[in-house]
Amino acid sequence: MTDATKPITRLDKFAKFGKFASSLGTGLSVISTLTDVVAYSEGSLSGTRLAYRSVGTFGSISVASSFGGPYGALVSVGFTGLEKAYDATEPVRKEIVNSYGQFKRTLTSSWVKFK
Amino acid sequence: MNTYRVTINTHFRFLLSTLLYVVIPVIIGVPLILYLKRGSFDIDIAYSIGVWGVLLLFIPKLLIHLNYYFENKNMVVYYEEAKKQLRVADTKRDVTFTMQDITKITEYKTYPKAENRTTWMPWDDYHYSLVELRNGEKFYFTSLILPNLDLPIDKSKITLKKRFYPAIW
Repeated sequence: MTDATKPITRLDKFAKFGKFASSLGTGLSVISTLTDVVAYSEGSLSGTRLAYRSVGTFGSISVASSFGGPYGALVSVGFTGLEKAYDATEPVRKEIVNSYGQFKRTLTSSWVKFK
Repeated sequence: MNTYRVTINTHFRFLLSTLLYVVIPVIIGVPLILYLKRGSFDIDIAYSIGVWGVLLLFIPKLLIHLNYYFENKNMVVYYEEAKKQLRVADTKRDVTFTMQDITKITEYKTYPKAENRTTWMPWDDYHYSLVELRNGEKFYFTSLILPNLDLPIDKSKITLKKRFYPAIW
């Protein structure tokens, strides 16, 4: 050993591409959140949804950085999937709320009549 | 004898990696995300998102670079292999010591760097070591001056600590 440091490993083409790809992933996440901020300022996105997406984005970046890319991707897919599921079930949820309201109204009016 | 100091080349590497891993991804990403999420490309929105995106990714990296730079800017490290001896000189002190004088080395690295994984954040390549001597002297050797510290000492004296953002507080 003649040096106080290990030689710096020069990245090969594959490693450079991997590093660029992960940087691109981080960059896309940040840009995606900023695009949501613009949508929020225009009034086309609610504050709750902006907060949810921001937590999802920064959560997935933190998990990717702390535990590895696949785990970060899993968190990201989980957050996106939940949001899509929430949107997809909106008619059903509305129907359930309406039916419950109807049921409650019927029950209340019957109770009043009974009294 | 090998000599180590922060040089202009260190800052050049910082700028090059910023260009490659911050600026170019943002330039590619902005139109892509705008088309995917909004279905259109507005140059004013693209410009403001691009500027904010670069700043959000660049500022933490710049801060850690400056943090390390101010820690090591006047430091010169000489390593003499034959005597296994280090000499550290800066504006306040000039200390010479051997490997036996080192009681502890604490390495502070980001999680990906410590686990030899792909880096995700722009500052993930930054790391530093705190070297403590018998006489109580302490030195911060950052990755700007000694990019990959590897002294011939007992490995049990080396402790690795993982941080999300390894700045010297």
